Amino acid sequence: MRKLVVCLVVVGLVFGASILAMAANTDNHTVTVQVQAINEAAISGGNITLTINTASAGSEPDDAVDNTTCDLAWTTNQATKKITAETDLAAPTFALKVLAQNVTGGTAAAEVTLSTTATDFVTGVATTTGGCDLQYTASATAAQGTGSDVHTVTYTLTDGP
Amino acid sequence: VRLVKGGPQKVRPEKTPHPPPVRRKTNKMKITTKFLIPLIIFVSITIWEKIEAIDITVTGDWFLTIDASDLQAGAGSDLNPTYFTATNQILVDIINTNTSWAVSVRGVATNWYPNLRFGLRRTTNGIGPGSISGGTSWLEVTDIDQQFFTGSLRRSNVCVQCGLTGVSVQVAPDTYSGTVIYTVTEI
Repeated sequence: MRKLVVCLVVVGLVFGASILAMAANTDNHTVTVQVQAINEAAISGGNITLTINTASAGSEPDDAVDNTTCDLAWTTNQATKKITAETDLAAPTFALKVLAQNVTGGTAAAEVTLSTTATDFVTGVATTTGGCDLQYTASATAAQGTGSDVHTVTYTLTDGP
Repeated sequence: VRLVKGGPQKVRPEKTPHPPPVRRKTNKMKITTKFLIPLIIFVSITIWEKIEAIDITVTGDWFLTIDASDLQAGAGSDLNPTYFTATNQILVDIINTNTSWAVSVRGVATNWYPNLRFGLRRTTNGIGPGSISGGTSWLEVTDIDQQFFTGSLRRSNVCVQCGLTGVSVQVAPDTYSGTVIYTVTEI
């Protein structure tokens, strides 16, 4: 009986010490990657001027359209985003509309008549890069006469479907 | 009758050459010889091995922040896919050995995005009386132990560079982390 006890003690000590010895040959370091929310939008092409100066006799003046000067690009790593458009001009004399063309990374909304209320311009933007051409259309009626409006148009990448 | 019976009892001690206490001491010695001495030897060897056991020390961590400044070309572009640390981000020391050894690595993810791939490469030989080889090409760390580099004898200040690839706007904003476990084994 005593022999058995001694044997068990020996085995226990050796096994326990061996485990301690084996545990000493590892070490580690951590790797942490923090990805922050990224929502970037940028306009390229600079300022644009639309001039209304033609008309067919008996009709309202022709619209002035430009879809080649300005582009909008965006990047987001978040889901459920949209892009809205608005102008800072509270009471324009003439109508100014904008439409997203050749959209990638989202879905074009209907043409937006710009106002000081942010209106959906591109929807369905999620974890993507994207871009579109900006088609501006300025309209005037003969009754509105002549003049000029200066708009600062703001596009915002924001939460929304 | 009483005298006869009592007689042998009185003379019994004289007939016994080795009294019981002496016999117990002999048994103890046998037990000591058979078990305690090997026990002491075993424990001593094990403790010596513990003192002399090869050991590895890893110093340094990597904390990487990815934000809008990491876009390749601003809005409309994707994030840079690949990132590297300094070439001496991690320092590895191998000590308490007088033979050849191999270092293996594996990763344990706490929270990890599947597209992210993490790798290591050895950038210096370190210093010490021994030698070192392997590990200078990028090794992708997985959850399975893989041999990183091998060597012999003591080596200290072995520099290791970390790399991360697979970053894109598809990687949702979050904090991803994992532990890289280095294991040294005498071979």
